[in-house]
Parts: sequence; structure tokens; C-alpha cells
Amino acid sequence: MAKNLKLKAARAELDMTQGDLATAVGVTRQTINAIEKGEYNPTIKLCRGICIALSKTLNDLFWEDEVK
Amino acid sequence: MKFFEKNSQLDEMQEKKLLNVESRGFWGIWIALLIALLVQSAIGLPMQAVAAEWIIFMLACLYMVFETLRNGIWDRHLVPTTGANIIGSLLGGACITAYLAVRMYVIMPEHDPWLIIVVIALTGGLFTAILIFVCLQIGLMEYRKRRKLLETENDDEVENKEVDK
Repeated sequence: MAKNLKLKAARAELDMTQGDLATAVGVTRQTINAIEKGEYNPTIKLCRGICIALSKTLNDLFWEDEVK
Repeated sequence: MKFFEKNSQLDEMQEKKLLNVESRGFWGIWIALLIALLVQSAIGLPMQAVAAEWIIFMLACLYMVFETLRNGIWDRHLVPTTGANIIGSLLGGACITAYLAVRMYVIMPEHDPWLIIVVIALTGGLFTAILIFVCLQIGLMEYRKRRKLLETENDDEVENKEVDK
């Protein structure tokens, strides 16, 4: 699974740490870290939570433009 | 169950990891228990000495069989076909043949000639293979029935067709 750089960038835009985002969506920092590193595939429920916390859409953060 | 789900201290990734850890733990204990039972039986311990372990082992097996069938799951890797069941039965039979040969050799090395050991082990293995095959086929039939039911349950299209009729 590819790294989720869009998520990392969106988090950085809001000057949030992984810990801040984790607290905002109610998960552990290691889960956010794993999502960003592409090591964990989150449920749609968590994706929505992250999108709401970062004021982004699912397309912005989780849609891959190029299909490999 | 809902109480434990609501009061979970874990997030979804930790939950998934814990399930993996628990799964590995279960199969580790299952294999260790099987080996312990085989070794104890092979060295000739009476049934009473291993009864508790055997009951726990069988309960674990029955739980797995019933729960997987109830959820319409056959196996992660094996395909639910008669051919695969034949191969599985033959492997099981071969294992029992080897086990019986070892057991008889360990318990009665001086009394039984090789030929008798081989004949008894092969007969035991053959009947075990037949028994495994019958059990697998019954399981396969139940699996197919359950799978069909789950695939059509709460299916709007099927329900609408039935209403139309």
C-alpha cells in the first residue's frame, strides 16, 4: 500500500501533529502513523472522521488519481 | 458482547491487531494441545489421563467447525470441493497410519511382527481417511446450504421477485 502523503500534507497545513489528529478522531497516534505510512487500511468510518477533523473530503485524502 | 464492544479501549487498528494476536494464540495452543495428545497417546498413557485435554481440544474443534459453518466460511486457503476433501482425507489417513505404526512400535515392540503393525496401521489409516472424508462431505453440504441462505438473506432483489410471484 502506498504512503498517504495527502493526509500528511493536510495535517501539516493545519499544523497538527499525528497525536493531535489521533485525539481529534479518537484513535491512537500509532494508527494515524500507520495510515500515513500506508501500513493500515482504515475503515470508511475512520476515513470520514479524519476528513471531518481536517476539513477535507474523502476524495481529497483517500482517492488515488493513478490506478497502478 | 455489545457491552464489551461499547467499552472497548482499543481503536480499530489495535482491535485488528489484537484479533491477530488472539488468533495466533488460539492456533498455537491448538497445535500444542494436539501434539501433547498425540505424544501422550503414543507412549501409551490411558485415556483417563488425557481425558480433560481431549475434551478441551474437541470443544475447541467443535466451536470452530460450528462457528465457521454458521458464518458461511469454509477455509482461508482450501477450496470447498470434493477433490480437496479427498486430498485432505488421504493426508489425514496417512498421518493416522504413521501415528498408529509409531504407537504400536512404542507400546509393543517385542510382541508384534512388522507385518501386523503395518496391516493394522494401514487399516486404521484407511478407515480414518473414510471417516474424515464423510465428515468433510457432510460439512461441505452444510456449508453450501448455509452459504446459499446467507447469500440470499435480506436480498432486496430476491425478496422483490418473491413478492411479484
